[in-house]
Amino acid sequence: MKIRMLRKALVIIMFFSIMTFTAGCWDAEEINRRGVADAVFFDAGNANPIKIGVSVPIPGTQIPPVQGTSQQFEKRHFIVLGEGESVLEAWTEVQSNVASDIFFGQIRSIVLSEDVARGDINDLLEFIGRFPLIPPSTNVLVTKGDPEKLLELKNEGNYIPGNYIDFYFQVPGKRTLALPMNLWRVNSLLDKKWQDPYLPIIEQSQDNYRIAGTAVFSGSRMVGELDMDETQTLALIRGADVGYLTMPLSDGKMVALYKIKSQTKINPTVSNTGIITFNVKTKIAGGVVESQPRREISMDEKKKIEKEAEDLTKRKIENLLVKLQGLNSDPVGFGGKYRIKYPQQWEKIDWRQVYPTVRFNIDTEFSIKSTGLFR
Amino acid sequence: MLQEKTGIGPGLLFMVLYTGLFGYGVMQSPYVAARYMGNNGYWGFFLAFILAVGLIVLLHVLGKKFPQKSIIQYLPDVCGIIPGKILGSLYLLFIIFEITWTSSLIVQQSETYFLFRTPTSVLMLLYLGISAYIAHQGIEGITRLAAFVFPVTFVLIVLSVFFSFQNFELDNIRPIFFIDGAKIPRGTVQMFYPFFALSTVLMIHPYLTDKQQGLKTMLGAALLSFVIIFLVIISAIGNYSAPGVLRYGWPVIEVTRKANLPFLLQTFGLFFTASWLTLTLTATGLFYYVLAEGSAQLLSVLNYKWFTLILFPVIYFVMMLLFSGVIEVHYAFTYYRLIGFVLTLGLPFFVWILSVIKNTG
Repeated sequence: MKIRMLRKALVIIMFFSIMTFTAGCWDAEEINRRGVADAVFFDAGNANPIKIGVSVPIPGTQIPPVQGTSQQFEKRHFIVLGEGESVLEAWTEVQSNVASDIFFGQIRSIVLSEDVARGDINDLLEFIGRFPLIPPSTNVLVTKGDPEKLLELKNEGNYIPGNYIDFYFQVPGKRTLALPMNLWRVNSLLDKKWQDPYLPIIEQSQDNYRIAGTAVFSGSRMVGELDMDETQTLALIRGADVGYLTMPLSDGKMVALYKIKSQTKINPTVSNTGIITFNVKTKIAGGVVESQPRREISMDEKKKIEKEAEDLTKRKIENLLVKLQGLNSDPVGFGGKYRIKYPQQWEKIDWRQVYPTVRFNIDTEFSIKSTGLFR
Repeated sequence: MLQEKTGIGPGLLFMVLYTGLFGYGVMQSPYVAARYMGNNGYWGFFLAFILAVGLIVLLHVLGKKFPQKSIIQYLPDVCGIIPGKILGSLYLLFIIFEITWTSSLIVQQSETYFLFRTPTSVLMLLYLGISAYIAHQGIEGITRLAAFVFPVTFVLIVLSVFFSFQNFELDNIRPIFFIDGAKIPRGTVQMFYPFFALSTVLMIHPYLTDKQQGLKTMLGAALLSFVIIFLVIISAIGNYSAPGVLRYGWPVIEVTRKANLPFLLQTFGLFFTASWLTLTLTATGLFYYVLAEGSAQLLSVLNYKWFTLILFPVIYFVMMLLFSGVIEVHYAFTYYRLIGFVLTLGLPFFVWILSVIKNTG
């Protein structure tokens, strides 16, 4: 009886001692004490090597406008800056510049200046990658201008910048105009070594943001950029599911295609002399959305357009691959294809040394699947 | 000594085994597969499952040989009193190691993702307190709790794993049939650790009411856990690639954190983590109970309820001493996998061989 009582007493004491140490006490935080960051940028500072800026929305301004009126607030976010020798030092300055606790759990975009992108992004993203709250699907972008000015911008819709960029990438029709890249994927590409990262380039355009091309990397350093046309070609090789293609024909006519879908098969071979050749076969399908001068797309016309489209896309792909080899950047992932087919040889080579010397056999196949409402 | 008079049916055994196998096995499985075998590291886990089937058959045979006794009780009969007590103590030491290592893993996970400022000592006290409370309820209480949490956690885990395949790249898990020396056999040894939870059967088998169903039940629980963990490994490597997985301290949480439903749900990570935490705490309760019951049987004093209280400061002290930081937890993991492999497979095999030779049981 006594023992039973003692045991009960012990359980009760344990129960209450656990209650007093309730874990939430240490981590309790009032929600209105949080400064919820929605975008962050990294740049080289004036006096220090690292500069961080955090875009923080102003909570009261996030309320939708009264029906029938337009958004009444001048700007719905502000930027907090910090500089330092390390990312942590810069971050500490950011924290010290505001009363609230900057919360990274809702970040939508990370913008890198071209300066820092040409440095080592593996080291730069180390800090933000280790931060447990940052969503892994956060978009990562590069800007050629001043990232502070870019994120300061009050865009036409008065969206907070991180959300604006996120919406942009979620529109299916933009997948070939802007190749999105998430934080987790950048880290994965940096780790696996058989493919290089690429990041969309963001710039200001007509008081809005737009994606103006793609920054390509060799390992962890930005080495060049692709314009919009080259970005679309890269999307074609990588297998686009939505896209556009405008095509001047040899007889002076023009045809534009949409709903471009592509599928690429890459097959590496090694000759007796050790030359690595990649056979790249891209199948592209699309629908005619514009023909100038306006005309019916007959069977003959279809075959002619398809033949010319095959030649044009082949040329574009060849030109792009020559450029990428020159930059020693492999955003397509040819290294991965070689690794899969020749795993033992892969262990022995330095892909960075081999990639510029490989050869490509490009083959394209184009088919028109629809002509819209007109014949 | 008070011994439990209760019994558990095959359904309850299935639930509690699944809880232990999945809860203790899933979290670091992609890391171990990628670390030791690379992009096709899932084969190591497949081979480990085949070994586990052998272990389950062995456990079933031992269960039939000694239907009313736990391993602590029949070890002295088979090996002699002193060696039997020593082997029994080794078994219990391993259970202590499992409890402390896994509880520390839970604590580190909570510190990393949720409770940044809460002191480690408090989290350890809290989680160990929960496990002790669960263990204190006895085998029937533990199994009923496992059965209670099973449906919800199972659905959430399956959904999280399913959606984690969102950005899966087939190339990351290729070449599929590439054999690189002894990497896969070595990896199989390392990947056996999710099946360590089967060692609890040595203690709880006497409580199984329908012993004929024991084999099927254990195989079912192991198969279900295997399928889900196998999918998790494929998903993590398929998303990040093997070198990419190695970057993360918690690759499984990361791969489910990334899984989302556009415009509806930002991440499945929270659902997965809460489910894993629930299963793991329940499983720790089972291990704690096995330890308490085993200690009571080994020392033949008091009962398991007393030992849940007596062992509390011991386990807490071991946790604080050995695993107060995440690097210590990762470091101990290597030894845990190897020692566990030898003990989990070796002990039942040794006892079975000896019982056959001496014709005991």
